[in-house]
Amino acid sequence: MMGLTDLFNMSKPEGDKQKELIRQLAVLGVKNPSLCFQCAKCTSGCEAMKLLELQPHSVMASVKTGFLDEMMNSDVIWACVGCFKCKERCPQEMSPVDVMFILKNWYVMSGGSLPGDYQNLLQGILSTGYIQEPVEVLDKDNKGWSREKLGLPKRGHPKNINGFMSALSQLAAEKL
Amino acid sequence: MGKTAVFLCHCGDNIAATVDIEKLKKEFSKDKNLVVKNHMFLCSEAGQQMILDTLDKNKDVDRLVIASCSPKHHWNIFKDCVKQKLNAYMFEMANIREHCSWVHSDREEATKKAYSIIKGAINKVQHHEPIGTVDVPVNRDVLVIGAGIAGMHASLELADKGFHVYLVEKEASIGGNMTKLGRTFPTDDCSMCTVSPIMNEVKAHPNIELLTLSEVVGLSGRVGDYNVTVETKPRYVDLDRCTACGLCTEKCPVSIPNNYNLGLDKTKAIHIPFDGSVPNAAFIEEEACLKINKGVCGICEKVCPADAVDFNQKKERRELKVGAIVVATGYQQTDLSNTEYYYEHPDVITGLELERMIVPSGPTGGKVVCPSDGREPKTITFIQCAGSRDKRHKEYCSNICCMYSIKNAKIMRAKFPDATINMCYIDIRAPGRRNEEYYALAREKNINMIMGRPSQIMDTPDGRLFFDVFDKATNKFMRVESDLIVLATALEPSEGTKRMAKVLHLQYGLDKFLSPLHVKIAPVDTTTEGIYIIGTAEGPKSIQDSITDAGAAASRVATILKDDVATVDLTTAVIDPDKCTRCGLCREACRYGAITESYEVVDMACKGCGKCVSVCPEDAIEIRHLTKAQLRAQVDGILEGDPDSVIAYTTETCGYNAADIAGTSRMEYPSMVKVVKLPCVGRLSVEDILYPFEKGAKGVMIFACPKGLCHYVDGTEAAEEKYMKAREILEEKGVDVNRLRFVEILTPDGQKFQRSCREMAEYLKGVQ
Repeated sequence: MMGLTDLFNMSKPEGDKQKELIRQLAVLGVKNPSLCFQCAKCTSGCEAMKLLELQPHSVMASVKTGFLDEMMNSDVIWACVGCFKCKERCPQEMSPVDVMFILKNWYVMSGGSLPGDYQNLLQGILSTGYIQEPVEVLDKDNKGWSREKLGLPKRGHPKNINGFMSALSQLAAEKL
Repeated sequence: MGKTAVFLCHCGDNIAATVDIEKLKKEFSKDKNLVVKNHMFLCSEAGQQMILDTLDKNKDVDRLVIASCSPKHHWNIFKDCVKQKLNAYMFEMANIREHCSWVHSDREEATKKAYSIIKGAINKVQHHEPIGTVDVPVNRDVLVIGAGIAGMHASLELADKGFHVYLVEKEASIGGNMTKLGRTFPTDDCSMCTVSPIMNEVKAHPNIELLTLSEVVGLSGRVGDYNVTVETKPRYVDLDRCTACGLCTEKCPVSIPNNYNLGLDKTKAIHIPFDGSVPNAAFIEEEACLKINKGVCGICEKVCPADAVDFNQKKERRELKVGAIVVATGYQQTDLSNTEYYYEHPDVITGLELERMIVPSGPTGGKVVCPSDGREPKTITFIQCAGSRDKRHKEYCSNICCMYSIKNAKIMRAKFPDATINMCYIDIRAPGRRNEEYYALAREKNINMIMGRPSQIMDTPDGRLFFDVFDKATNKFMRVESDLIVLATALEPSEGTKRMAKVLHLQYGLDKFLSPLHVKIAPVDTTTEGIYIIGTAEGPKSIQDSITDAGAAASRVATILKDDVATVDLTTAVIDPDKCTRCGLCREACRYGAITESYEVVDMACKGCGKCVSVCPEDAIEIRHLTKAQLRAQVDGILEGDPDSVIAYTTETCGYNAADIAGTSRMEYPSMVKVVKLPCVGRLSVEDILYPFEKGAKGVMIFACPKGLCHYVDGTEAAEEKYMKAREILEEKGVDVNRLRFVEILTPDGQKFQRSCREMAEYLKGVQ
């Protein structure tokens, strides 16, 4: 594997990082990505494919060959919305979504900052408890339904917003 | 007693790369009672010659140990070699390849283990005695189960050779799945035109006795002398009288889905199975008939001009005596409902349903239409690997789908020159004579090959089918709208195949297909001598491969039944009348009635499982080729070679095979585990289980065939009982009971073998 060179940027596979990734996946009960046979079913069903061009099968291929740095530092992995469909439907019981979670964690731990949109999302959670204020949902025929119309109760908000923020921050710090 | 010769095989570097053969040779040569030789390939002609020469030169050698591969592999070769100089049973094989060099990478560790295994074999062989033989009469009739293309071909081959063949088929007509196909690759000829002459030939052959609507429900006996129970359902129609005029079907008031057309159209409760069926006669579907279920109607009986309808027919049982059995019970399509591969919509169909629409005599008269509204499809999409190559459904490749989908795409192009035809695939697999050329021809037909697997089929509110797929070739994410979606549905063993596995006690894989004795060198043999598996009962395969199988099995049957008598080795039980107190425990344990009231063993009935040995309180009964002395000597030898061993008792079939598969798959496990082969774990007495602990073993594992799949009826249950008793005794003596383990395992489950061994070693490491 070390004999490979990416001629676009002259990078080499990173065996140690790959081993560590496989180890962390094993802790999560996920099998070795080298079992992926590139049927691309994950990408066919990916929620983030159409708008954000996320190709989970391609992420898996990079992991298999060990070209991790480029993947870790690219915006692409941040497109994953974590719907877990790729994991649910993979015929080889792989989990691209877990691979991307790990790569995202590594990126942040190595000092990288969250992409702009994520900062907004994070800010949203910290200040209101929500990523986004849900206004209405669309059905199959693109018709909008408000919570009221659906007979859903009113949403609550954190009562002590400062306490909520510090608790969350503390949790994040512990995790890291 | 004479000396023992020990032969060490390098097996190229299969063994020698991890096991230090020179070191072993030096170690064993220290013992003056041993003559030690090594060879690059012992199984080769030169290797066998060396064995013979050694026996010639050393007249005082009267027994030998062959340290090489698994006895499952070459035992017969070495037996035939040894037989030239000594009794055929005066040798023992030490498996230092599958159980050692292939599962350990550390050279020192592997060498130590090999030493221990060989030491066990040397100790054991000291107690070997010559085994006698007996000639038994051979029944030269053959039973073929399943009359699809494979079963019919095997029957004809055997009948032409002069064997009397019983051909048993559970449907009302012979012919199997091939009668349902439209055209077949790679020749594109009409399937029924190919199979129909074969069906008629089977019917007309004087040596073939056809039993339709029949199933095998029981089996006893052994090769050359099987007793088979066959149950025949009533047809309610006299085969000799029915002229297949069809008047009964016309008048029958009960309409039912037509199974032959996969429910795409209707038929009546009394009907002829299909045009050209053999026998070409009507039959009544029991469940649907008003007369049978409610005692009313009976119109068919009244209108039949030949007076052929007979409601007095009853279910019948028949005992057949045969010498060999060929199992050709075939496949079925997997039910994909409730998976994302399927979508509940009439226009999502399977490949086999499309075949029915292609056939001119089929439910649509040869017109391919969208079943929802009968319109002509403008866009047809084939989705490959529906359920196949998926660990959550069928892990294997269904083998024929690439080729038949390509064939169907070609037919669609010929029918609809202007239609859009798509095919979503992972890989196209077209090996085999003329198949790649066939694929090349199809590529000229303007078919959109999409390199990607769809995630889910959906439809729009107005009912148009679509799915999204990422095409790796164009790097595009595409929406594919289709009028007709054809799934290349995974194949699985038919219900009949699954039933036969139980009735005939055949081994099957994790995929549930019947397992051959050896996937490479004994592809139609099974672990039961005289029973052969062919066609898709063994795995998904093409018509040509099924026919090859059939010819191979016919040849194997002819070989085994070539003489009127067969010589059988007496590896059976024997009772010492001086010790026997006639307590009856052995007779109670024996499932074959092999022990007479006067406490003598009927050699022909005894299967040599050893369950009688495990219950005898007086040590009065022994299995001739696995005596208590042999078993204990082997355990002693292993522990002498490596005191830190875990003794793994395995059955000769599932347990030992699983260990071999761990070997062939190079699944590493701790070297402390050493396998001791038994015919069946039912052979183990409580003392046998506890013996290794007395001698200082770290642990004992028992690898049994799963309950219900025991090759000797209930050996697993018997062993589990002894295991529970042994646990109690260990507990009383204050020994950690977790050092004794009982594992039920299937032949193909090398992974479970590896996992169980690792868990045992992990545990032992933890308590030390």
